[in-house]
Amino acid sequence: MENQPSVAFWSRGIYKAEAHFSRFGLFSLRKTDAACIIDLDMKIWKVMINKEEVFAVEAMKVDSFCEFRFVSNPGFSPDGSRIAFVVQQADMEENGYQGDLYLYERQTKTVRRLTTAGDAKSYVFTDRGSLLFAAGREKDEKRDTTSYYEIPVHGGEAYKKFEVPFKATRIFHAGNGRYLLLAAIPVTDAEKENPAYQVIDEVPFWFNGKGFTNKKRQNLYLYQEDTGDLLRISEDTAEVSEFSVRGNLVLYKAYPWTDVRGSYEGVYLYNMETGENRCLLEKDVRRTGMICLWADDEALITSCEDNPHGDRKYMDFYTMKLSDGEMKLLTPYDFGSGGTNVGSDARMGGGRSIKAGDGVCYFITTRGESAFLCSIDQSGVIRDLVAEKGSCDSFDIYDGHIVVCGFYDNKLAELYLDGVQITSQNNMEQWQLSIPEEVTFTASDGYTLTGWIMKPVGYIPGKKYPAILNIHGGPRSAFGSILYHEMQVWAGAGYFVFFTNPRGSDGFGTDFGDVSGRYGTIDYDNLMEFTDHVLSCEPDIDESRLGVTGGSYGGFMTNWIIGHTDRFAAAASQRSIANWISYEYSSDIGHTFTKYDLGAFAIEDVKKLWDQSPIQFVGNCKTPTLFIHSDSDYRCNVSEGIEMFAALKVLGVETRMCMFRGENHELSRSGKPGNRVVRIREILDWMDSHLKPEQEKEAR
Amino acid sequence: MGEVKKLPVIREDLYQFHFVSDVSLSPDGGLAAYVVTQADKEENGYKSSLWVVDLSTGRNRKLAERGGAKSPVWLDSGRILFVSGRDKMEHEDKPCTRYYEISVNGGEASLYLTVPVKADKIRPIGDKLWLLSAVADENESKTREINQHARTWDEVAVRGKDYDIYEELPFRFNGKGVINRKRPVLYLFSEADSSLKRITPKFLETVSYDVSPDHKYVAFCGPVFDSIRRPESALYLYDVEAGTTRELVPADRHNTGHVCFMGNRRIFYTGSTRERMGKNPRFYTYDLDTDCVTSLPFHDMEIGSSVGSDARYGGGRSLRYSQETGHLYLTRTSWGDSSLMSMDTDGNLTQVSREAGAVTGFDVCTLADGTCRIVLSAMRGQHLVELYLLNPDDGSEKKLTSFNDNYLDTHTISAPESFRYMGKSGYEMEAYVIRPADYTPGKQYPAVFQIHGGPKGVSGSVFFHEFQCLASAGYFVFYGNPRGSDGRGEAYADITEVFGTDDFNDLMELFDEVLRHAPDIDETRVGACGGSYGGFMCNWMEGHTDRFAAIVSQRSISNYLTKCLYTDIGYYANWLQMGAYPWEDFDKIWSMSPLKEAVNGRTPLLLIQSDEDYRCWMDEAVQMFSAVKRQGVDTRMVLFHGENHELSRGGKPENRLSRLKELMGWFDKYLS
Repeated sequence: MENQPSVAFWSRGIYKAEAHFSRFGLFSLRKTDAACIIDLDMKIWKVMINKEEVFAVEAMKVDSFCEFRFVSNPGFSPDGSRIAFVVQQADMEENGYQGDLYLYERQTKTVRRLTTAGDAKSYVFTDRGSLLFAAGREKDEKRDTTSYYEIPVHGGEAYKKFEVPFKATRIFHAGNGRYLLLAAIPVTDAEKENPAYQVIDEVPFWFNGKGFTNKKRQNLYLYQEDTGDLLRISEDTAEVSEFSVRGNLVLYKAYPWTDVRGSYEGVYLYNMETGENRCLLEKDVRRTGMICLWADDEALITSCEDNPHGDRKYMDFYTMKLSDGEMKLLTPYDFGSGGTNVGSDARMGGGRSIKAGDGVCYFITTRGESAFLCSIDQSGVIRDLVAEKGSCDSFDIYDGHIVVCGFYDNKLAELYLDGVQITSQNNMEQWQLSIPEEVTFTASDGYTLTGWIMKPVGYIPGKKYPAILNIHGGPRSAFGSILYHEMQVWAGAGYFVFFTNPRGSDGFGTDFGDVSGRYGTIDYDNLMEFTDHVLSCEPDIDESRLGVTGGSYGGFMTNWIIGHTDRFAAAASQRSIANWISYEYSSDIGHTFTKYDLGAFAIEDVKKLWDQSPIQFVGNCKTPTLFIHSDSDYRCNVSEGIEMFAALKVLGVETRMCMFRGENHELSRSGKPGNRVVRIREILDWMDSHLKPEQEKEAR
Repeated sequence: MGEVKKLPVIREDLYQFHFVSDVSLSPDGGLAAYVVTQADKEENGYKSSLWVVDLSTGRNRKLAERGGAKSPVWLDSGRILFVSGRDKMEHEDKPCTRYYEISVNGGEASLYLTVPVKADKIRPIGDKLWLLSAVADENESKTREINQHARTWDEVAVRGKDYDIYEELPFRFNGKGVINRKRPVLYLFSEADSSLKRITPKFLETVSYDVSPDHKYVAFCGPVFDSIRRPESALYLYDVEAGTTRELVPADRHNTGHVCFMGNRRIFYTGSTRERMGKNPRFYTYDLDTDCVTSLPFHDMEIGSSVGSDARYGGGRSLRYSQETGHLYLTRTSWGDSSLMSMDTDGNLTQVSREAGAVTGFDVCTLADGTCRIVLSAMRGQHLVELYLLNPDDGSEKKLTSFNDNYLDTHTISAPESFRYMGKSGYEMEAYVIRPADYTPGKQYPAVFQIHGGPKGVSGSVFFHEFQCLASAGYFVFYGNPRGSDGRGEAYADITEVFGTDDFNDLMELFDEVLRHAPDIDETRVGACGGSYGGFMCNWMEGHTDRFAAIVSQRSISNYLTKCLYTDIGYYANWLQMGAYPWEDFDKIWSMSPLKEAVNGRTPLLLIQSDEDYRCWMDEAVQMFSAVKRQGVDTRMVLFHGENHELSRGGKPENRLSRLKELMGWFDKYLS
């Protein structure tokens, strides 16, 4: 069989091939005296030097993410000479993830590893320039305490510095040996816990990723290193979400509540020196987003006034006077601020997404299909500091120098200092990637949408391929062109993959991003028109072999699609939604979500919720559908997926459900590695069994 | 000396109860073996022991208890086989069931045989051959052993531990967990070579089976499915010697249920129709000589006792044929009682036991002199289950055991009184009232209205621990059997598509009648309480009446849009009740869902739920809780971990006490 595939797509990285090949081709690589073998379907390339295999280049597999080294959380040392960061990787022994601290020396431009025990997933710099991190290194470590270890940067092992009597979720160094801690603590009048049963007497009583939260609040604590004093700053019943520190001042957002939680948090100012605690904005007054203490008398805060889009409106920049809490509009802004919303299943770990300077605030924003780093100053001017296509996940800034942890150029997240890549934790050359190609089209609602098409790895023009439409969650999130493991797996398995940001997505302003009360209408149309467009662009897609998948909102949309069209030959619906009525009463966010996203509470207009519920249309469904859910998913309760599965069973439509135990809404992004492998394999097997003719199915 | 003051009934009394069950007569009729179960505080579980009673002397003896002793089977009139966990190792890698042999004449038990499955029941069928039932895993990729040393990422996550695959409906079942592609099957176990031979076909779920008296045939029935379980169930006959199976009655004909040999050549079986809820089975016989089916007269009854109580444990027979008398014996529920009936070969029914209460099990045999001997396990008066020797001629009963007599003598038991009235529906109705233990006429008392589950269950006059706890705490307790209940025929039990109307009206009428009958009930301090269907009704009451001062809704139903789909029996049982699936008729189902009006509720509501209750799943309670709580009504939910729909009857003892504490605490808070 003579094949002369194009070599265009394979000029990537340092090895550039200029060759032709037949069944097993040998050809030279320009840069080295190496040889490369490629098999017939071009799935595996092996680079040989002196007849020894140096590395194989192959498409990503279901477990490739286990080789990823997840870089996160860059931070400058107090003197600016070093940048610390965290690297995590899957660990087979524990079926979990190991994390260690690393340092980049700016002077020598070298990276060295600081910790080796695999238990360091975040850190703070101390006044001394050493690093402090939480770890459980003692055998008899009690479950309800957190131990902090200090490790010097000039050598030596970590030693235990102090311990706090609760499980802290976050630590922040507030200067002068003061640390701010967040921890979920039972409120004072909470009933004594009995392991045999759970008492529930407030709404919400559970939360995705946290389990049962009834009568527990995330409190803010101040820890004084020299005296060991631990002081709770926030009110007993207050749930604290964010804080910003400047000198002795701590500005924090909190919602004190009993019985039923509302949505709009209050803003409070605490003085670490005097102990004074003042409310600057009462709760339930107005919606607020990020907060930033950028002056001794003023803070920056995002918020919005009443608006026809309600809570779907993006928040503008306001100043807030610390003397009386007075807020003034500084600059309108029609994008999300305070973090990236560009989706990927190939990231892990946190980091800064907001930082205060003197009269300036640095923040990450999702705009278009990318997340950028911007600044805003007291005159209200917004500047783009890092505006590369991709995703700026986290950053730090020191004396004008910016370090970014981000996804760029089809790579996994790495660190970039002033635009120069300073870490190479991942050797991207080992994988043969399918590069998303951008397409734009104008939808019937008048908006021009950007989407992407990924060709199958080893694509041979003229051959017919199956294809998978992928739909993101949110709906307020976005697909970009950044590396996405499972989509690489599908492309590697011989699928075209296509995806876009339909109405409701993040990054394109309030009007575009508001599908409230219109779920399943304009968003559905966008996706179907996009599918038409992709089919017209890529005649090699076999339109009788289309698959569709998505999670969360994407799972809702998958459920909606199978009830409205038979154009997909297979579907995989993940952490999905079937019924907005049960959703309102069982999801951790149900008591606010349906009102703002579906346009009504059940008590106001139950028909409106029903009309947007996929289960209503399931009677039309013919598409074989796989359901994937996690039994501790309190965002999209497991009942939702089961309702759909059972309905399809009753209707005689081919279906299957894979239920993960002990996982939550984040299964695809941070679930146990073994479970993530099963999940990806289930989806791939489902697609293969419905979209590939017998002879094409292969043992992977 | 004055009379010794009796003690009030409290929840901790659970540890004093002895639960008698599984009575079985020796082949010669001289002895009856039975099991006594007690709640075990130390283990937070239950322990069982094996007993025999000598029917000529009335003497009871404990034979075995170490490691638990249950499921007795007579080997001959001098030896009993039973199951015990006495030799169970800490970590057994393979499932097995160990049977021990004990002589009724003395001496310790010895291991008799070990079968390599978790056997449910075992029956000897001839020489060294046993018929046993057990659950078989028919999943293609079986649940793997936990792999401690995975070498590839594909080996790390283990099905059954980290994740489950559902390919069927139902995929999990109350009390059984995940049942995807798991079937109760029948095996022949040969002692000679310890071999297991499966006799039921692939994917058949064994519903009922029986062995012919000559041990030549096994009759069984059950649905065969690999995607969705439907009630269609055929009757099969297995020839033990030939090893062949033939279908006697096809699956689409009668939906075969109970199977029982009447001699070697005739098989009794029941058939069900499912066009509406509440239907009672039809009775048939199959003649193996002529291959003819005979339809027997319709008696408009279910086989078995539907009388509810939270003070029993373990099983009992509800159907047995006596070769010698030529009669089939079976239990039946009528009004608030269940009794033993006999049926001749023509299907004519005669009532055998005549006492009020509940017959929870029985056995029958014929003595050498030709007399028929019947032993009942039954609840009589306010006694818990004890054994009784029944005289089949005059219906008189002689009490054989007295495990709970001392308890009853020393505690203040308030017996229910019942009265009847003509309901507006045209049916005669019965109400039961339990007075407070310290009742003084003329004083006003709070009361709790109890609503049973099912809806095809019944509440009767038998001992109910929870009711007695309430009575001892100073409450009236009252209840009845509204339309939907068992014991009154299938038309009465049929509330298809009228949930919340006919049944609710009956209950409100009963409430009025009871208030008239017992004027010392303070109408402003009445609570409602119920579980399962009773929990549905409690949730319904929350949104439809303000007559109650507090409600305790247990293992409840709030939203049939979801209940129809995500519970084990939802897709057929609840669908039948609603008459539609959610996508077919939203308005109809929503209007029968308590959640619709729950937001109008003003009554303090306690929801009690178990997180492994796949019958009435926790999400039903969660939805109800959220809806009512958000309206500012005092609402509380108590969610038990690792318990299921049977929490109040068979849950871990400490959890049962916690449940009673919560329930009574709620009423004390709002009714005292």
